[in-house]
Amino acid sequence: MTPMIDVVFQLLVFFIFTLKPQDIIAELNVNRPAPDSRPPPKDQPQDLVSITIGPRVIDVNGVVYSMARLERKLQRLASFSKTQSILIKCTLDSRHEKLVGVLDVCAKAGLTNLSVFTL
Amino acid sequence: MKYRKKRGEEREMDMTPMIDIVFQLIIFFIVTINLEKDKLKPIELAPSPEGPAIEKKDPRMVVITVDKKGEISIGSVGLSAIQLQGVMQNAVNLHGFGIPVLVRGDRKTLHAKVRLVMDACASVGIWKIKFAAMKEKVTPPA
Repeated sequence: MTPMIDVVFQLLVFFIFTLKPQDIIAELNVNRPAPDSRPPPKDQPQDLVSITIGPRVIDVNGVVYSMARLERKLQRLASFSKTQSILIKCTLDSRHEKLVGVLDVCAKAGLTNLSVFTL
Repeated sequence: MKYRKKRGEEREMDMTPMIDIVFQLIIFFIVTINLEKDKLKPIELAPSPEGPAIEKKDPRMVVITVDKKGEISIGSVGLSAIQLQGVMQNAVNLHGFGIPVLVRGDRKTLHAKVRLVMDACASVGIWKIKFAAMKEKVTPPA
């Protein structure tokens, strides 16, 4: 029996060392409109939700929101329509984590129609 | 195999098991060092506890990494924005516009850098992009 036990121990040690726990990665789907597409008209329709991510603050249609308030607003929005299209505009000097944070809140609310623009 | 006990005379030590173990260790380290090479560039993903987890991996998926300094790479190969556009053009020619693209952006990188990747994709006709985020962290920080 000894050689078999040896081999089993070797396999055991091998798998303990090689199998590392894997982080679970989430994927957040967004649409990227064409960079050369016409700029959106100035008189935006009222039902359009536009989230602007700046280096410090996040605003929705011009009103500054905290993350908690944004989450409540998006939850309420999602209760009407989950396919409501949402524009997310990022300034060039905002951190990527802010965008991911907003996308996370949208994912939590179940909103799927997200477009990311760059200001 | 018969073991004889010689009295008054020391038995020679059997070297075979030690050599076996040394070989095992050598093989183990050769294999594991090669595994380390294939790793993706270590970056810190932004947390997203609510995002949908990646269920099945599409073998066509293009994984683009943007590190903290804003350097773009695919696998371990660094690329400029223009090179990336060429790579994406090839990918579209091979697999069509529906090819999945996953952008792994470091949480501290500026949107301006991520934008370069998005523009490179959009310019070759890829509208749908996925952002990678950390759903559940298991491994301790390096």
